[in-house]
Amino acid sequence: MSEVLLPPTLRVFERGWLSSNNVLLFDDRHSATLVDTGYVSHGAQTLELVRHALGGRRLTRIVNTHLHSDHCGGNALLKREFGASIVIPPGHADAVRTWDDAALTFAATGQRCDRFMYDALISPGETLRMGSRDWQALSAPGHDPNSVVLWSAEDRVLISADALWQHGFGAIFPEIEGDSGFAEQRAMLDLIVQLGPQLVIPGHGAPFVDVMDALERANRRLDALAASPERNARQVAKVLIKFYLLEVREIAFDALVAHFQSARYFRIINERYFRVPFADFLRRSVAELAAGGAVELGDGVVRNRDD
Amino acid sequence: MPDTPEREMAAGVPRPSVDLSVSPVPSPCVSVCRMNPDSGWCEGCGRTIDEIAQWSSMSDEARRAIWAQLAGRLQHA
Repeated sequence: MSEVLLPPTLRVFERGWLSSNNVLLFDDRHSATLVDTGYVSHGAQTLELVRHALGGRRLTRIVNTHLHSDHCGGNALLKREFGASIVIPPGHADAVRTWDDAALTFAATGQRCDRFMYDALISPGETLRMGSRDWQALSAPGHDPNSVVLWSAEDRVLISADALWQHGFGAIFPEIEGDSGFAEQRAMLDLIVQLGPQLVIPGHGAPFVDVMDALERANRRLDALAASPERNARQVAKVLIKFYLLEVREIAFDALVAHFQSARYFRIINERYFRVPFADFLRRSVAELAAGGAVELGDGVVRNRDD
Repeated sequence: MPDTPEREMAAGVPRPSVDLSVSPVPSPCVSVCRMNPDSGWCEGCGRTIDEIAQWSSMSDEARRAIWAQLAGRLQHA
């Protein structure tokens, strides 16, 4: 593993999987931009982290790579505290304006997000000046059809959101609704090969420089998922259950079933792939998570395992 | 690495490893992310705000030095 040196005008707050990484960029001596704001339940700590690192600057801008709850959960709080403007990719703009639960992903995944309003849009192809560098927004569908990643050609740094992690990438959500996602994810990985970043700041996990290794792993993983959409759907269900367990730490199995019964993605996955009673679908997913060591199940209670 | 179901899960929801010999040294974060106002330590991982904020910019030695203090902090928290 090679040494990772971050550009001097940039800070990365890496936490666990419930909150995405937050990238703080110092625009000048007075102002800064934050890329992604973490999960809503971590808002107080996110605020403290940002305040601590600002060094007397003001947070003037929040940019979201995409509007999943682990990336935009701190938007409302940080906007209120700093008066920062919020910049989002255009795909969900209408849905944010009316806070349309059917179009936003929070209810569908059984997750939470405080309502916020955006102030500006960043469309693929457009450039944002952040941390004394130009960052080009690039369309990054696959994990989420409306996601962008941010590319600094000058430093050859990619803020990759959930399009590429050191070991994998975000679940391919469009496929579980019957939309294309695997092909888009493949094109995304090919584009990153072409860009040739020397540093990737992922949406989760530590920044990394062994980019070609990560791309190779991601392509192999994509091969496996694309060969079995059912495996992808199974994986989506497990990721969402684990995510919820990170938030609540432990919950009665019956309450877990009740929680996810109203989550649209869970209904879709079961209806499309498994067609079993809903509680059985959940029981099987929890059992697989338990077998992998991600959760524990005992006395009718599911508990998170930190490993 | 073999793409076993366990490996697959780890790729979807990576869990903190306690193997401190690897680089980068893994983050101690367990997604609790709530500061205790009395101790000044995170209730999940035991780090201070400065240690969490600086983590990504630290050397592996500095990260191991923090790890070495965490168990004691969480016991007394």
